[in-house]
Parts: sequence; C-alpha cells; structure tokens
Amino acid sequence: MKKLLYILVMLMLIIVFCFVNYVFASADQDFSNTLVIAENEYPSSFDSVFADNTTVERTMALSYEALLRFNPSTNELEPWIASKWSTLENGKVFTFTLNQNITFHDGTDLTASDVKFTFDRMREIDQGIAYEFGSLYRVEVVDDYTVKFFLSEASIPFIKIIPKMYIISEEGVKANISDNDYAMTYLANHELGSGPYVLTSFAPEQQAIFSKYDNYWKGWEGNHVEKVIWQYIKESSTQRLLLEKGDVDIIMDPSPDDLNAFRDNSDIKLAEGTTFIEDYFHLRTTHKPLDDIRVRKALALAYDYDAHIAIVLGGSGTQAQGPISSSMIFHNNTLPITHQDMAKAKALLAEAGYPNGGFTFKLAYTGIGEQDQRTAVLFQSNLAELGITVDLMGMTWDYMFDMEQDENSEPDIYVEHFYSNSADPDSGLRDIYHSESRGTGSNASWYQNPKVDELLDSGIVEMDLVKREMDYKEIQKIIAEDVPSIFISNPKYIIAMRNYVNGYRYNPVNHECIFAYDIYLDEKP
Amino acid sequence: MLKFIIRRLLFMVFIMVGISILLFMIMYKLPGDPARTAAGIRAKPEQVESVRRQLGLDKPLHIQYLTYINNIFRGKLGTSVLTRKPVASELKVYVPASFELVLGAMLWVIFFGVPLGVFSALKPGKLVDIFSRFITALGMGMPVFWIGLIAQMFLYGKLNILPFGGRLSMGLIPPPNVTGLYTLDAIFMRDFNLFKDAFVHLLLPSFILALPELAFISRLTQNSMIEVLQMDYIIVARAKGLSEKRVVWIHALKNAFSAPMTMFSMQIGMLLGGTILVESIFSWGGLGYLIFQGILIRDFPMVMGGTLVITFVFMVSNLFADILYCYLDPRISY
Repeated sequence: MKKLLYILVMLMLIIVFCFVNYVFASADQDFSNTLVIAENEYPSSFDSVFADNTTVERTMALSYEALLRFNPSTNELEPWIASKWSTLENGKVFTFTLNQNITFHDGTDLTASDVKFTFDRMREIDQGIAYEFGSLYRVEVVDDYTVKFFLSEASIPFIKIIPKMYIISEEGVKANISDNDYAMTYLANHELGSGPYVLTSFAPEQQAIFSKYDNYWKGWEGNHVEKVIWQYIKESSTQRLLLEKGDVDIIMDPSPDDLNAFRDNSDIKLAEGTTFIEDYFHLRTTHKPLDDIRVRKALALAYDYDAHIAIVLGGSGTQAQGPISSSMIFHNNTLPITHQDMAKAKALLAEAGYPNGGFTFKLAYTGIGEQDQRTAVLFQSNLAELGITVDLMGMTWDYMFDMEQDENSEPDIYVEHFYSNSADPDSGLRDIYHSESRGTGSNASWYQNPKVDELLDSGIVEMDLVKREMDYKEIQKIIAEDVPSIFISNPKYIIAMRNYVNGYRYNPVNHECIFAYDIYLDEKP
Repeated sequence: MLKFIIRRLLFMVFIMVGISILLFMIMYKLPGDPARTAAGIRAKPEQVESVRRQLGLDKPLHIQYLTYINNIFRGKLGTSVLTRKPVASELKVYVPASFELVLGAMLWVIFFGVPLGVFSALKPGKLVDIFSRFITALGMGMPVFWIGLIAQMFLYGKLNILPFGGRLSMGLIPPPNVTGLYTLDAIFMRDFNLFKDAFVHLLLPSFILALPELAFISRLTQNSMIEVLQMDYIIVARAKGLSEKRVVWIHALKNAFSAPMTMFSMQIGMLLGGTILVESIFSWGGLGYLIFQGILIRDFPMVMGGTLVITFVFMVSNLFADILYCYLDPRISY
C-alpha cells in the first residue's frame, strides 16, 4: 500500500505540473490572423457530391469552388471558376469558359476535363446534390478551358443550381480510388479542391484546421485570414461561454435565448442574413376534416404568428407572405398576410360544421432542436382555444419523411421548413406543391391542383422573364387561396461573432457557409 | 482456473451472437430509412433505391444478418452510412478516445476514491468523512450532465484554470495514431508539451465521468474497512504491537479491498457505455456519442459495431473481476 501512496503522490505532482504549464503555455499559440469558429456538428465528408448537406458545404466554402457564385447584394450569379457563360437552344445548352490560372491543392491545373469529371462522377454516384441535376445528361469538353452542358429538357432555373456544384480534382480522385468507391473513403477525411484554404488537419468531433493555400489563383493581397479552425462543440451553452471569453471568434449555433444576452454584450455582434427559408405547417389535405378548405383557413387564422416571431425565432425573422420566402425573386407581395383572428376562425369552423371544434389532430415535428418543439406546442395551445385537441409526435427527420411519403400515415399536420438550394422559386414550389411530388415526402400536404401543375411545367421553360414572373406569382396566389399549408415565417439566419471580425456576408444559396477569404480581423484583445 | 476461463470465453461468444441478433432486429424495427439518410433528404425515390441496393438493405433480414456475421469473421464491420468509411476504421479513432476517458476515470476512482474511503473509515465524523459524504451526495445524487456543465462554467468560464473541453487545445494537431490515446501517443512521440496539453484536457471530463463510481467505491471501501477493522484478527494485530499504519494499510485494506475492486472491475464496461453525456458536454469525440448519432440517423453498421465493442469490453471486465476476486481471496476457486 506504500507503493499505492507513492503512485498517488506522483500523480498529484503530474497533475499540478501539467496544469500550471497549461495555464501559462496556452497563451503561446498565435491566433492573431486565425479565425476560430465553433460549430456543433462535424462534416461527414469533404466530398463535393454531398454539398446538399449544410455541414459538408461549410467546408466546401473554404476548400472548393464552383463555376459561379450567387451574389446576395445583386441577386445575380457572378463568375467564379468560370469567367463567363452563355445559354443556347432555349435553356438546353450551357457553355462555360474557365479562368486559366487555377490550380488544385494537389498541384494539378483546373481544366474543363475536371469540370466534366466532377459532373460525370456526381451522376454515377447519384447521391447528395445529384438530385438537383436530374436534367443534365451530358457534359462535353470543347477545349481545355471551355465546357458545354447539355440538358435533356430545357430548364431556366438550371443555371442557378451551378453554385452548389463544387469542382473536384480529377487526378486527385483517380489516385485515391479504393474498391471502386469513387474515392469516397479518401474524401471522408481529405479534400481535393482549389479553394483558398487547404485542410491541414481533421480530427472528427474535435476540430478541422484549414491553412491558406499559397498558390490560390485570386492571390492574397489585401486583408484575409490566413488560418481557419472549425472547433466542434456540441452544447450551445459551451459555445456561448467560449465566445464571451473570446476563445472563439464566431459561433454558428446561438440559441434564441442567447441572442438577447449577446445584444447586450459590447464585445459581441450579431450578423443577420435574409434567407430563402420558409417555415410551414403542412396540412394533410387528404385527411378529414382537413380536406375542407374552411377548416384549413380556420387553422391558419388560429396560429399566433407574433408569438412565433418573438419566442420561437427570438425576434429574428418575419411573418411569411405566401408559399415562398419574401426575399425570393418573383415573390408575390400582393398576397394577404394572415394574422391571428380567433373569432373568424371559430366562424369558419362553425360554417364547416364544427362550432366547438371537437376533433383531434396528430402533429408531427422533428424532436431534435427546440424550434420545432416550441412551434408545435404554441400551435397546440392556440388550437385548444378552438376546442381542437392536438397530439404531438416528436420524431427524427427521416422517420417524419417516411410518414410524409405515405398518404395513409397518422400525422395530419407537419412542422416543416424549406431551404432552397438556388435563387429560383421553382424548386420550392415544385418540390412542395406539384402533384408529381405527392409521395416523395416534400409534398407533405398531398396537395394537387392541375392549374398549379400546368403553370409550373410551363414556367420552367419560359424564356420571357416578364411572363415567367407573372406565372410564378399566379402559382403563389392559387396556393395561398387553397391553403394546403400554413405559411408561418421566413427566419433570418443569425450567427454571433466578436466585434473584431469583419467582412462576413450571409449567402442564402450557400446557407450557413462562411467564405473566410472575405473575412479579416482587427486586432484581437 | 484455466477451464473456468475457457468456459467463460466460449460463453462470451454465445452472448455476443445473441446480442448481435437482438440488436439487428431492434435496429431493423426502428422507424426511419438508412438508405434515405445516405442518399439525402431530397433524393428522388429511384436514387434512394439505388443506395439501398448498394448498402445491401434490399435483401431479406436474415441474409443481411448472415452477410454481416460473415464479414465480421473476415475482419469487416461494414461501412458507415454517414461517413461511408469502414466502421472498423472509425472505431479505431473513437474507441481509444472513450477508452482514454475511462482509463482516466479509473485512475480517479482507484487513487482518489479508495483512499478517501479508507480515511473516512479511520476518521468518522471528521473533515475527511464529511468531505467523503459530500462527494457521495454529489456523485450519486446529482446528474452528470448538470455537474459537468457547472464545473465547466466555473473552472473554465470563471477561473480559467482548466480547458472547456476537447482532447487538445485549439490549433494543436493530434499525435500520429499509435494507440489512439493522445496522452500515450504524445509520450511515444516524445512531445511532452502535447502530453501536458492532452493530460490537462483529460482531467475534468474523466473526473466528471468517474464521480458516480468514485462516490460508490469510496462508500463501499469505507463500509468494508469499518467492518474489517472490527474483526478479531485486527484486535490481535494491534495487541501484538503492530503500528497502526501497518494494521490499516497492510492487514485491513487487503481484506477490505476485494469487494470494492471486484465491483469496480464490473463497472468498467458500464463506464465505457455511459460516456455519452460527458463526451457531449466536453466535446470529447468518443464512442458514446458515435453510437448515439448512429441511432439517430439509422447508421446500422456503426451502431452494431460500437455496441459489440462495448459488449465485449463489458464481458471481459466481468471475467477480469472474477479472476481478480480469486486472486484477492485465495479461499475462492472455480
């Protein structure tokens, strides 16, 4: 037992020695030009095919680039890897001319062959972002710096999805294929991009470190951060603590409860971005009594939208006006904005034969995360005033998606959100309200309207922008009148950062991405 | 003894097969579609079906199970639905992380919990006994999640004497993977700065993980010591003129030690399976959170692989406890 005591004393000495060293040594690292970002989820891959996953796309924004980028200031696409582009044959052929001085991190030149390879690989893997490029059937290399895209059918919105396809090194992929896996195993821990930052270290669940790529084609003149550290921290309370102490520069997941504390903190600022996101209650139009439009309208009048904005969104967002985000092009701003009106709701229910409510709905929401839970509870309490009982069903998103695909599934109402991958209204309206989307999960209300289908099918190939705008506004008007969904809100995207962080700009197409190349830091205290 | 060990090892195989069948059926019955998870939420139905075929999820359940078992015998635990990496290579990263946490917790229990129990038995009603009761109340009465967050806020947030979490300080690159334990791998690399950093990061999470066990073991040690100190042979030892130190640390503790140590050995597997809360609070990145995430996204291969590892460790620790008991008390034989 003496030995036990000696070991105990030794351990105590080691503990004291190490922690004294730690307290003094931890100041030695230089973070003056390093951007440290706290995030709650690490990327499952660095493969550009999975850019539909926001966690993966965040790393894309550092290490990869696309042919074009969406500029939120102008609402237009701007050149990136491609210096110019054109459309032929009424939106069936797209030609891109590439910049000539771009290299990948593996040292190879970025040419048209890499662009073709990226899209061919994506179509062969047929996962991730591939679903957005369903109409693309062939990519042709014209010369080293010119590439043509051929679509099976004309699609005006196609060009707007290009910013989501990040170009990958063909040689890099081919050198790292194992067991015919398209190098997916290699890309789980490595990247093969041409972007401004190189992934230098990745410890899953811990951190990812990106260092500046010295041969980046846009150069390093001016102010840019030189290193980016993504620190993976699960708890939002811990993220908040780190930000307040100045140990991280940006946190990606501030909870609504933290926002007010940050507003009162002079060292921290909030960066708000206007998104293309819309929050909904999708009402299963094939279930009684939701097949009665009067009941659906009554439910829409029952919800407390003001409380939703104040409590659920923490004040960061606006009430929705129709089925698409108010910031989306062709948004119909003549549509009425619904306000809570219990008297009108009761009158409508009475007209429908339910003067005292007297029925029960099952409401499904994703159980992880507070926002949907609060939304569901708020609606439950609102409907209780009408004599309607709501049974809440919290579940994982994939289980909820299964139920949305099944016409006979239990839930009558779904709390849902739509995140658009492009700056075009077509994907949101088509995915959620075209009759062909019934059974895919996106059209959770199982809505169908032949006029809406007709306008969507003609709108996607309409070259005349004025006509296209009129058609899409008409679509929104019809959907708003049919009330297959309650259009709740357009949330803003908020991150919190230290005051010395400059240059951040939210991009609604690359939601939650931080383009660190545009960011520079004042002197850190 | 050898026959006993061989019997137990064979029994372990039987248990592992049973657990794998049960787990397979539970995962299969859980709602949700792993093919959908892998393909992406907005993938078209035909894309989801293509992924389902790639992952072998279109085959009958018994074929899927037999394929899985066949692969285990060839050293393959399948491919993660989320990361698309072999499960075995993922476990090589995450299991050592949890193991390092558990090892740290074990050291806390042995070198802090046991002496605390001994001293509180020797000095009833005194400060050390009061402190021991406080630790017991804290460890057994308060949720780990709550204690962890409070400790983090106080020791990192207010006093800034310990890191918030993680296995290393921000910006430090982990050592090359030899054992997967950053402390040991840093020693192998002879990078003592990295060792110090990894060690200090281990202190708080391992203590929080150890707290319930520490409380339990210290209490058990205290009760065992009180019982043993009242035995006749202790009175004889004192009457013979042996020093109190020798009476307590040589004669009494050895006999009082067996119950707490065997109980603790059995708890090792449970410690490994219970790391998820500590890993979540301290952003540790270990097996517990990996399995939890796997359940949420229906990553069947990951959940199966991780759970089988925990099951295996649990059974080995039980076997070790039985062997240890035999060693500590020669009267016991199998």
